[in-house]
Amino acid sequence: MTIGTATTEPTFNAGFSSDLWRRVLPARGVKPALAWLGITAFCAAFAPLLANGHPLLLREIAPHSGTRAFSSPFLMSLSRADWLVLIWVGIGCVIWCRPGRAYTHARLELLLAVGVHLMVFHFGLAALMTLCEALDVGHGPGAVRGLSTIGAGALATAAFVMLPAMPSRVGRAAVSLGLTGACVIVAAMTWSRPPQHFPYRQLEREGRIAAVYTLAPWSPAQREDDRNASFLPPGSTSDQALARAAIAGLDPARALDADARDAIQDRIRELPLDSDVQQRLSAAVERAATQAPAGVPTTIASVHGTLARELADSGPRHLLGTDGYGQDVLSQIVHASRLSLTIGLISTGIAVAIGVFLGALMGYFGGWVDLILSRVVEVFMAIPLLFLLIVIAGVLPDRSTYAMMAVIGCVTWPGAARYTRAEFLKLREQEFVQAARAAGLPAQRIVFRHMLPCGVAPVLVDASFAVAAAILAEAVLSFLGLGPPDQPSWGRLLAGATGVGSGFAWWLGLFPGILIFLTVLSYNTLGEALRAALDPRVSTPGAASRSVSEVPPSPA
Amino acid sequence: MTVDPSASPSKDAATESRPLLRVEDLAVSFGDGPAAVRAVNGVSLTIHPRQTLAVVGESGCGKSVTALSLLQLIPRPQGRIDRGRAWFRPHGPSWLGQEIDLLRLDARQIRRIRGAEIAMIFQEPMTSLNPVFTIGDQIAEAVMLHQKVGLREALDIAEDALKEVGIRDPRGRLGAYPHQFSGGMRQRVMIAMALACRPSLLLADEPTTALDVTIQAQILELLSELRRTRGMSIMLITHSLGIVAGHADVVCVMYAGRVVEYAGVFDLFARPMHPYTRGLFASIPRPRQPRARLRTMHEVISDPEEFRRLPRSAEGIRPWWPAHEPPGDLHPSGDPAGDASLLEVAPNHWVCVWRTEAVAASSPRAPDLPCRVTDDPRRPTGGQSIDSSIG
Repeated sequence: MTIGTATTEPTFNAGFSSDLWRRVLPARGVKPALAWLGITAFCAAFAPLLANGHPLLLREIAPHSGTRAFSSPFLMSLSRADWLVLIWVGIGCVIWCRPGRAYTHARLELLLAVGVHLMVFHFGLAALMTLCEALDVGHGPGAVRGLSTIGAGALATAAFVMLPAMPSRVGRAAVSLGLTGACVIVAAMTWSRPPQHFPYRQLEREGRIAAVYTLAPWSPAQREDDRNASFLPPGSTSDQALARAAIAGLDPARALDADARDAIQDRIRELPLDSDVQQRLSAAVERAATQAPAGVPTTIASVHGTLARELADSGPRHLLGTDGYGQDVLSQIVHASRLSLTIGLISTGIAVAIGVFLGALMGYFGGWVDLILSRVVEVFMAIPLLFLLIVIAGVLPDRSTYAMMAVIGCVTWPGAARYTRAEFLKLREQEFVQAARAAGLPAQRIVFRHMLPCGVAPVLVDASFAVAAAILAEAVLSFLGLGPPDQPSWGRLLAGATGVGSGFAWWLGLFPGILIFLTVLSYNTLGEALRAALDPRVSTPGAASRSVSEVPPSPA
Repeated sequence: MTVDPSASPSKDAATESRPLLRVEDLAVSFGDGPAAVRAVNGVSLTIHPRQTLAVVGESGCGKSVTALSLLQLIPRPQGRIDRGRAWFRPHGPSWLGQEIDLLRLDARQIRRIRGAEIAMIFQEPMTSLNPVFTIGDQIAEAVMLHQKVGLREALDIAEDALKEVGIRDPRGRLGAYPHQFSGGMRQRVMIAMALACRPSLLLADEPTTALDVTIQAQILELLSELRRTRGMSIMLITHSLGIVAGHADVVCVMYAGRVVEYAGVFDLFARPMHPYTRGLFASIPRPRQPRARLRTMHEVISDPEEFRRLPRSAEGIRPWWPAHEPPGDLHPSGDPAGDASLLEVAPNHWVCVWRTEAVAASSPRAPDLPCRVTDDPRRPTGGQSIDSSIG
């Protein structure tokens, strides 16, 4: 609302939410929890920027002419969703840091409205593209492209204009037009699928390009060149994996006799390496065989060590190792934070929306509405979420993330509904509700505008626990191999720890496990702090923690 | 009888003789079957433009339910309006000046009445404002709903309303939240909210009960002044006879869901007729009249002599009292109002009596007093010092 601009003393106005915030923040563990959630949110937003197999900057070196061309495969590799998320985060930073006296909730509303706009565009475009192809409307991709983009843009603009985010119509129209313009540019840029192969290392070895990579130079779907090079422990380089490939399949305990040497030399020649590197490796193998101390039989295992040492510091490392497919764990972890964040937030969003709506109806109207909806709540509380998810994963032809979000959201709403109902039963008797009715406000306005902000606080508690539960549910499902396929997921990485053959890959158990643990712990800590702040019987956590911090440290 | 209110110097009594609100035989009950409670049982009253009608009575006598049912605000489905009419004359142009029955409006129509034509303020100013919205938001919302203006204009109207109820720096206070105000200030904000849409009738349900005496006086003074400047009628529900004496034109004493006595404020204070009313007056401590102890309500009511002091007592007319046996010559009728009836026992003075044959024979006149005596110098000054709660 614009009333914020009318105030002369903005600092004097402390709303309910900022009051709650002040009570939650000093509670024990809330700051680390928020920091951790911030880190995961950052990873989720900037995942392709943090971990990407496509180099940020590429310099092509033509072998003879010496002409050089610069390009950025990174920019080309970003998908439409990546772009839209980046746009959203950028606009979010602008909205949040913009000077002025707009209230926090006004900024939040605007931010959400922009998010809805981008989401509607994304999904609208996908749906329209499918529709156009199914109906064979546009003859040729150009027509399909134009039709779909215009349709999705109109849809998104309409969605934005419907939202009560900005009071002035001109401002709303300007923002939505600008956003739609950006969306159209993104759609045009990312129309064809981004490249899915990673020839850069090979080209680098051949000296045809020079590349600058991001922090973790691997994409989650990027596999090591050789399938046998999988399951690398943390710190390995991909070239060490190649060295391993040279002895793969041979018995490590076997002595390094002439046959074995020939086999290894053959393999080295087949490796996708530069010829001088190949020669260096061959020389190292020969050296290992000839210069062995007398009496100690040289084994194939020791050749591997020699080769690995020879290739150390050549090429980027897998900081957290690789999984059974030779895919980088760090990159997968970073990209998977996006999945668990969206699953947690969207499924909880669905649950809260359904729960609050039905709970509000139950609490406000009472009577037979309450009677019937309470029975529905009881029915849904009896459904075991995990088993339903497993059944759905088995029944659905393709296991998409959205189906999972929808199922989790549609089953876990009773908590929110019961909290809202209890709160509304209490609020219904409050005089300000009576006063709102006496002022002639319609029922939907009283319920959703006047009572909801007062009654929604306990739902926050339920929601933060529900986010944690949803993240866990996704992890469990992925661990069981029923998660969304072709998507990096913490649970799926965990499942790889006990993969075939090589025993227990501790790095696959430890790192994703820590991440799941920390994230779930953070949401639960937050929920607990909210609950304590909203519970009048618990003394203010701020006072408690202050008194603890004021105790001087003992000299001992 | 010292004062005849109908002859009081109200200049435009003739021009404004048409009542603003006429409640006829209103009955409201809660619950179903044998457990049903008749909260209001046959209440009739009339409010004229620019008049203050005080409704006095103990807690639970049906004062608030009467006011709430006028706006169809009694909680459903447990509450139910059994019978009655509430004829109201809205001033809005869309109503074409016709008289409408508030109890029979549909949900959409009554919403156009609420706030715009009849506003209501409540007892507890601490809880009657929404804690999560700024007061500017809350006032402007109602204004935008009823007056078809934009946000900016609505905020201007809200600012004017705040200024009118005496809040300093109204522009700055628009962005403040309710918890930043004291109780008296909140009640002022409530009044500003009620007035922003310029209603013709204000239902004030114990507007000062939760406030201390100084603030009480300020708020009542504010209401009286607004009534003068705005030409608004007030239905003032209260426990306190002191407030009645100071601010009412017409008084309606209620007990057990019925109006037991209805008269102009001078008449009532000069000559209370129903034993219950006399009991109320007897239990007020009076300065300069020291006594060992006051006469209690119970003593007055349990004295049979008190019930023989009506002017028409000789005709066998007895004041109605729920604890008493009905007299033998009760008029047998299927009247849903039961055995009691509001009778004009003296000119412009109504008392609730048993519906005996004599009462049934006399032609009844609905309680209707167009007098406005608030600013009359003859107002009973003793009332200012009376500050006793009877609830």
